[in-house]
Amino acid sequence: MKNIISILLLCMLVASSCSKEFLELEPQSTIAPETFFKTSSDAVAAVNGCYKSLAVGSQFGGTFQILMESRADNYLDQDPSSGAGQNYQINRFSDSPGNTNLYNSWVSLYNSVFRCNTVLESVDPIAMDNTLKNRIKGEASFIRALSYFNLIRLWGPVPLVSKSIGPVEAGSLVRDNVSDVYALIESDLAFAAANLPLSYTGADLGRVTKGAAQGLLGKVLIYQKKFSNAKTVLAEVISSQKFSLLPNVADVFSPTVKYHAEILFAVRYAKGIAGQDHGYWYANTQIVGLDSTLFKAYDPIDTRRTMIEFAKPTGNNNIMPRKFIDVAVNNAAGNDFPVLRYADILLLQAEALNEEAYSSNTDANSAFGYLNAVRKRAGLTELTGADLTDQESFRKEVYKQRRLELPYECDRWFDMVRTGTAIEAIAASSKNITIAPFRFIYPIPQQEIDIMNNPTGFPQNPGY
Amino acid sequence: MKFTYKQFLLKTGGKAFVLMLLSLFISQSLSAQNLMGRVVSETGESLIGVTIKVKGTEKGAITEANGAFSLMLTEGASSTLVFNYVGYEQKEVEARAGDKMLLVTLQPSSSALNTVVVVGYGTKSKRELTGSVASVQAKDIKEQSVTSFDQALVGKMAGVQVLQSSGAPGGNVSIRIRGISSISAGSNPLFVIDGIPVTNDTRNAAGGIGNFNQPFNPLASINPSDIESIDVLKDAASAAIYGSRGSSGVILITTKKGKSGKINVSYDASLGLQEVEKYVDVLDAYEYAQLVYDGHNNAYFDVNPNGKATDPNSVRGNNPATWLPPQIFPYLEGKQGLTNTDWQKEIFRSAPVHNHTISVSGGNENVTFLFSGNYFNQDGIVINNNLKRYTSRFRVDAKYNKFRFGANMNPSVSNNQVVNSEGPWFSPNSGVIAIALGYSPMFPAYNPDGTYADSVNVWGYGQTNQLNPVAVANLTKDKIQNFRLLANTYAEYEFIKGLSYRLTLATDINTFRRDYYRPSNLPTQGGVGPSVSSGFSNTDQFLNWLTENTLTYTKQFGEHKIDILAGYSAQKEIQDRNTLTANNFPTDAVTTLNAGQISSGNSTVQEWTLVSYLTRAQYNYAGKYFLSASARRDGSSRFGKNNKWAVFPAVSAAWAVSNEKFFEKITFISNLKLRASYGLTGNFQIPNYGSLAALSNTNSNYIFGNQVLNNGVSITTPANPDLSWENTASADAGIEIGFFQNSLNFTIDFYNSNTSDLLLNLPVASASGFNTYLQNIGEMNNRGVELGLAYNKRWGNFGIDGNINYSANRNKVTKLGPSGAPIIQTGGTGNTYFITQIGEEISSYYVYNQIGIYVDQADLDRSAKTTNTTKVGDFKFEDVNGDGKIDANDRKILGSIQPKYTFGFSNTFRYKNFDLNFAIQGSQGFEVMSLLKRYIANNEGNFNSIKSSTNYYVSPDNIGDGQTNRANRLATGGNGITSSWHIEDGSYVRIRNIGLGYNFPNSLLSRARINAARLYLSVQNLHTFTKYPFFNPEVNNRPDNSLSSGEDYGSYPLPRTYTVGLNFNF
Repeated sequence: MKNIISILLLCMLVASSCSKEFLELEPQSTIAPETFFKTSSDAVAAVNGCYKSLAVGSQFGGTFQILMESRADNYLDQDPSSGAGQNYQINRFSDSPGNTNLYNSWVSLYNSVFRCNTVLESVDPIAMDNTLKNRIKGEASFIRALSYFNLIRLWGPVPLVSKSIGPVEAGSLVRDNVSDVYALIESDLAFAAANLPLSYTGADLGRVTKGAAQGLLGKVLIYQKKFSNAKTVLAEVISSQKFSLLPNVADVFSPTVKYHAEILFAVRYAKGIAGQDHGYWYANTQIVGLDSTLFKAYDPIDTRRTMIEFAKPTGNNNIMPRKFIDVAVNNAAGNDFPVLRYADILLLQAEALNEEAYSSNTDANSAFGYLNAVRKRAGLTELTGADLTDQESFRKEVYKQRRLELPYECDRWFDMVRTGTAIEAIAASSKNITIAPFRFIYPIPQQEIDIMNNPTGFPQNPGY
Repeated sequence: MKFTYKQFLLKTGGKAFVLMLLSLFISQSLSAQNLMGRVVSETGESLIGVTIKVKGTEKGAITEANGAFSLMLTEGASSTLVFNYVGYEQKEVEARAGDKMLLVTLQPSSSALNTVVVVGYGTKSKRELTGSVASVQAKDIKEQSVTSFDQALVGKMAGVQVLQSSGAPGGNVSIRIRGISSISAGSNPLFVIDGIPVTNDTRNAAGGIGNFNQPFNPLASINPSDIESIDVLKDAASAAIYGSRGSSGVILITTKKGKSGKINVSYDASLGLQEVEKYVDVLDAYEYAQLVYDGHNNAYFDVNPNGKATDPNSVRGNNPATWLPPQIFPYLEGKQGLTNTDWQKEIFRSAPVHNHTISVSGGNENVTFLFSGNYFNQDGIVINNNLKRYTSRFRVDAKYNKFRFGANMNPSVSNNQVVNSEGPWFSPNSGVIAIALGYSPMFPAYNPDGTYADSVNVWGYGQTNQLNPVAVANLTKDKIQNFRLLANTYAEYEFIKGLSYRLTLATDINTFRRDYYRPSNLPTQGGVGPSVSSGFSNTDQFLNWLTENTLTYTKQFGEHKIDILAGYSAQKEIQDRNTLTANNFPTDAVTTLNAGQISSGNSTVQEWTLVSYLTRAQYNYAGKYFLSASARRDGSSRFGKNNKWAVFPAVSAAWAVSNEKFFEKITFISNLKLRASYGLTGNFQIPNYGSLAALSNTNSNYIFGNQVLNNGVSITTPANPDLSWENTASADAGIEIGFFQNSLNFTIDFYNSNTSDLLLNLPVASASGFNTYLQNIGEMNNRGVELGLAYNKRWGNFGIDGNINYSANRNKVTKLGPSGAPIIQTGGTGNTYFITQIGEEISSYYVYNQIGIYVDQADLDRSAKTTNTTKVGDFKFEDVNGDGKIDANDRKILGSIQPKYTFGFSNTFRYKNFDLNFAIQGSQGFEVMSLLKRYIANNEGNFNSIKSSTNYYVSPDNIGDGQTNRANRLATGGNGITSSWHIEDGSYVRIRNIGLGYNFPNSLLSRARINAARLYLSVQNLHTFTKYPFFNPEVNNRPDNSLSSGEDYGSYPLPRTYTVGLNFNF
């Protein structure tokens, strides 16, 4: 009897002695971060994750097209009911802080920032080739800068997070000044420009280059009206001779030939590979989304006009701008989204030079030269000082060419706001509404306002 | 009789080892008996399987057919026979050898005080209980038309709220015991089947499309007629023996076992016919045409105030929403005989349900066995929806000297043909019920050639595209197969009298496979013609095993009785999941994925473990004073490194006042007991690796180079090494009073429970990179009262028994996060907010309070508005903070899904061989967030509408009911914003069941060699009295998300079922 009880007790003891092991289960289908970041390939995988964060549906995969383009005067949403009318409300300026497009993009953009911060912090201790290490940090810096550039253009002042931060700690963040955010963007892009290669080959094609970092920096500077600095950095992009305009504008958006001289940076997709494709952009089955005022703005001989007309891809009922047509596989497309391309750079440089001082010089390296390069490729005549007689008329032509060159490329709404033409342009569009200036930036997502619960440090944007 | 078992063995071939076991123990000789008799019930029915013991000896017998028994007694002296039978009072009878016609009548145990109650790792008689335990016996839930036994518990027990949010066969049932004890860890109770705690994780198995899928009901694989009793441990002291899994209560299910005696064969068959309990009152085609006309015209007038209703579309501008769809004109002209489809009639049907159970049981004093087989086939009341279930059970219990051992195997297979009925109309969910309510009645379901019409997809004019719900239901193939094996074996050894060791080994294997195919002839929403076919195949496998060692010691000395339990258990679950998706099937003829192009695949493994030490001591003095103390120490893999282990203690006591000497004079009170208990329990229903940061390739792989996929990783979950148990400390006090020989029993319980360290997947500042983070933060209080009244009385041939229960629970959040900031969660659509705030109920609706409409321009000018363009006739909201505008600061708490009180009332009348029973059940004082109204009451004319919302504003002279917004295809103002307009009172009273039964008299049956036969008729869900305008007020889109519960975005109605059933005992 006694023996049996002691045997039993022994059994229990044995059982409990191995319970520590029994209870500490490591996940089998995910990796523990502590055991990661040991080799250079770990670092590469982590920075790849930063790129991917740009491609998701709540960024360039879909929502940005609504927030950055449908808002503007190129697109007319006539479907007030789909998706609870949330896309429609963005288009018609009746959006409220509860609009889920806003929250989704906000969360996603900060997820990009988080991924980049993680890379920037975790890569340093890894023993690996220094050039590669700095390249990886440069890539992450570029993506962080791009994300912040989008954040401030969408919402104005936002919390500036430059290190990974705990979820609880993040609750006490406040909205930082736009100028502080710009400072980080500029230093990130400067670091990226200093450490990234001019180009890649083979399996690395598509990564951020020095030119992309400089080009984005130029754009960021122009948004701040730092035209002189912008002129310098954009001149370096142009003189690097890594980029050029493709002779045929349709080739720029080719779903098959994706790496070419006009693209500085694009978000990459591939159809037929799960999770790497995207739904059609601006697509609709019933209603043409093209705002007729955009169509009318083109000269009939302009080769870019056909790119914005709505048409059907083979084997699909959706209609969409021709520049984004791709034949779907598994009901999804695989064309890339151009974030920064050489035509944009040329127009930015033309603008920077003109803002510095008007000149009727038409040399290749002059403001007229850059403007005409873009016009010429579109099949338009080259302009001279006789056509654009002063700084203001040149400025207007640059703005106009930006609209005609870059529609649906997530640039138009921001351009309208930064150039002070938004109210006028929206009133002149088919939307025919007068918008209040507070709508130049979006409301902070209501969820975020509720969580922060700090009306002084983290207030809603005025007007909303 | 002597050869019955052997004959049985011969017939069954003696293959199974269990049968061999049986034969081992069949050795008893039944020769030379000198006492014969018969045991009957108070109504004269033979009782089969009554155990008879000769007091002071080892001798005994069991009654056989016609209640007969025989015994060998010592000649001369008188012996005392003790008769025991479940559900009847024990009876002692003096007898002498030589009596050949002893007739013993047993009385039903009126008070049920002797009923054995399962309490976790043991049993107690109800008399000895110190905690709050609710019990339901098989007889209380039988003859209801239910798919799973949990549905039969609706309204049966105080404090046990059974929410049947879906009427689909195998659809979700949520059980809340004493309110919601957790915010984001599961609030489902722990289910313990024959002592085996089973996993709740299978609720998430077999995931399908969209975010609106209802959870899978893991209990649907159990045949309700296999169940002997269900006991619910409600108070923490009772549940604490299950430690970290006890805080939402514990439901103990005991399956039937064989009884010694003659082999009993029973056959139950029932056939039911189900129909939808009510149709929602929507517009017909003629009425709807008028709504479309008004909606589009008003949209036009907003753009062009000088426009006229007669303006042709050509002058109405470029927005199709301002055009008039030409399809409506014949209806407006009142032409007769036009298409006028009642879409609810198209998707609902009368549907049969068949249920057949055969069971064979028997045994002798050493071995008992039970075998049962069940076939269940239920068509859903939504077309193309069906559940077939095949279950069987083999149970054998044996004893040999000091050993007891047994095995219980329960394999089951179910095939569920799913139709995506619940959730919103839009793609990819395409819930057919929501579509049917909002689909234009002007279009037909079928083309003249018999193919499915796709009319709304093409009608244009700014109208919303929807899929034909009949086509969605019939063309989509969606099948869930579930195989389950729930098995346990045990061995028990009694070292000395009262001291036993028991080893239990158990396993629960669940395999789910879901095959889905969406054919090319079903268009996409908004698409025309053939779509790209797609399909997926998911497999989920759960392998759960348990070992359990317990030592029990029971000793009675004098007036003292002690029970001691000590145990150790280890449990592990391995969850394997595969998913595979494919598209572009060349033909709809072959729908398995090999035919399509595989587009993605995934496989994951997860595990959890739990190790526990438990002990309990119970003491009872003279049947008057009862004391119990227990503790369980649990460690789980799910929790953080710093908090792996926790102890859950409990104490409870009871005083049977009526057993005191001084009470003897009070004769009308036959029982008075006071109880009190206090205990700690926990909740471990959180993700398996919730405490660990996870780095994965989710949304991280990326394309570089020549379209090459590169590996990418990112941190997808932040770590929390402190993650720990939720703790619930709960006190309970109860009084039980029985009057008039316990023919009237009254129970009242008060409880107060505080949950701390709430596991919260809290929305956090997204600037951290994450929008939610799992933490132990916050406290919540649930307190309430439960009343129970049970009665039974018999007057000659007439008898009545029944019970009434009432429970009221108040939930209050008492602490949240470091700053105490409320948690605001967004529901199924933007602008639908739920707030969880200190001092309030969890998950209260938090939206604008709609207080009418702007009746005229003056009203509009002086009242607060949103920033949207607002017109006269639009919704007017309460300016809560009085700042003259309507914005997020004007949201207001406007109710919740948690009822103020619930009640149940069951009653049975018996007259001779007839019985009539009914059960009424209700839930009062709760609200439903009816998001359906976003569509079918929006007055835009893009969806069909409920009739009640068409008394809308037309002009300043005709403002309708003054509450309803004007018709307008392009919603202005806050008409499209979720507000109190969408909140409906959900209070209801339901006639849950009415049944009439007839027991065929013995005189008739004995000739046919039938022991018992019964015929019954019943109606389930006869009627629901409620103001709620849609199908079922007890809805919940996300039953497993406590932070945003109570939405109705389209729900599967509970069927009304007419059943006829027969059962025979041979």
